[in-house]
Amino acid sequence: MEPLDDLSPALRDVLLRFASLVRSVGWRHGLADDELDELVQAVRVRLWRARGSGEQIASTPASYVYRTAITAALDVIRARRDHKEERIDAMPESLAARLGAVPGPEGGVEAAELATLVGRAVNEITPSRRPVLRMYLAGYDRAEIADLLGWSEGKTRNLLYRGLADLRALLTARGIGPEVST
Amino acid sequence: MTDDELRHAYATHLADRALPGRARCASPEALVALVERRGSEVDRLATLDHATSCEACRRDLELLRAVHRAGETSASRLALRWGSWVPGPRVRLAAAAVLVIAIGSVATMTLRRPDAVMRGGPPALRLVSPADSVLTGEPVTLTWRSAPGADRYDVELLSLTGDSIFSASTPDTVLAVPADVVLLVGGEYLWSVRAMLRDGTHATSAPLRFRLRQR
Repeated sequence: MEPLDDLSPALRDVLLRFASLVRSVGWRHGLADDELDELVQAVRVRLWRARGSGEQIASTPASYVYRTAITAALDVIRARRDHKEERIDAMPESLAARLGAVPGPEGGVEAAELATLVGRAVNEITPSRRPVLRMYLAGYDRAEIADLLGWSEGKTRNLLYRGLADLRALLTARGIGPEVST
Repeated sequence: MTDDELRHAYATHLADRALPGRARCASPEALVALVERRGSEVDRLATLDHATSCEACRRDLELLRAVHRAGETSASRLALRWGSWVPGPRVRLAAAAVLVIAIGSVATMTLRRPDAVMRGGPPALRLVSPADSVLTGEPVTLTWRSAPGADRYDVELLSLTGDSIFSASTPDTVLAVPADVVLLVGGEYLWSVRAMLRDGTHATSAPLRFRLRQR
C-alpha cells in the first residue's frame, strides 16, 4: 500500500504541498535530487508510522509536517555523517552553479595558491565579521544572510562590506591586488 | 580582486580541503538551531562560521534550510487559504473570526521558536489596499501600514489555490506589482506581507483578497 493512502486528507494535502516546496526550495539552493528524494521519503515513512496517532496531527498539520521533516532531515544528516564513504565533490555542481563562470587567476598567481591565501586571510578576519563574509564568499546574497541571522539589511551590509574591505586589505598586504571592487 | 574572483578562490580553497572527518563539525542540532534562530547569537555565529568553511556542513545546512523555508511557506499558504474563505464585506464579523484563526495558524509556527516574541498579542501589521477589486488597466499597488521595528517587508501575491504569482522584498509600505506579472480578468488573488523586525522576529499580516475586474 502506498504510505500516503493511510494519511488523513488534510495531512496528505499538507505533505504533498510541503514535499513540493522542499523540492522547489532545495533545487533553488543547489541540493541534489537524490538528497531531496531521500528526505521526502523519510518524511512519508514517519508520517505513515504515526498515522492516526492523535488530534495534534489533524489540528496542526503544517507544523506537524514541519517538525517531522526537521527530524527526518536530522536523521539523513546523521546517517551520511556515519557513512564512511561520504565524499564531497572537488567543486560541487551546486556551488559552481551558484558562483557562475570561473574567472581566470589574477596577477599571475596560480589558482590553488590564491585559494590558499584567500582561505588563510579569511581565517584572520575579526570573528564578528567572518561568518557573514564566509557566507557571502560561499555564494549567498545579502538577503539570505540577513534572513538566516535575523539581522537587518543594514547591519548585514555593514558587516559584509567591512569584512570584504578587511579581506582585500589583507590580500593587498600579501601582494594580491590591486583591489577592483564590483 | 573582484567579489566574484574572491568567491571562486574561496570555493577552491574549500574544495581543496580534504574531508578531515566530521569530529570537529557543527552538530546537526546546532545547525537546526541556526536555521530556526534559536539560542544565542554568539553560538549561531560560531556554527555559521564553521558551516560556511566546511563544504560538508554547508550541504547539511542547505538541507535544513530547505525544510525550514518550505515550512514557513507552507504555514503562510495555509493561512492564506483560510483567508480565502472570507465571503465578502457583508459578513465582516465572520471574516474577522476566520482571519483570527488564520493568524493563529501562522503564530503557531512562529511561537514554537523559543526566541520568537509576539508582543501584545497578534501581529500589528495591517494591509490597506487593494482589499476588494482592481480595474483592468490600473496598476496593482499594494499598500500596508508600517510595523514598528520593521526593517523590511516580504510581500507575496498568490492565486486562490495558493500558487505564488509574485513576491518581493521592500523597505517601503507600498509596492507596485510589475506590469509583466500576468493577472487574469475576473481572477481573484490573495496577498500578504511579512514584516521582518530588527530584533529578528517577524509579524505576518492577515491576507487580503481582491478581484481583477473589467473596467
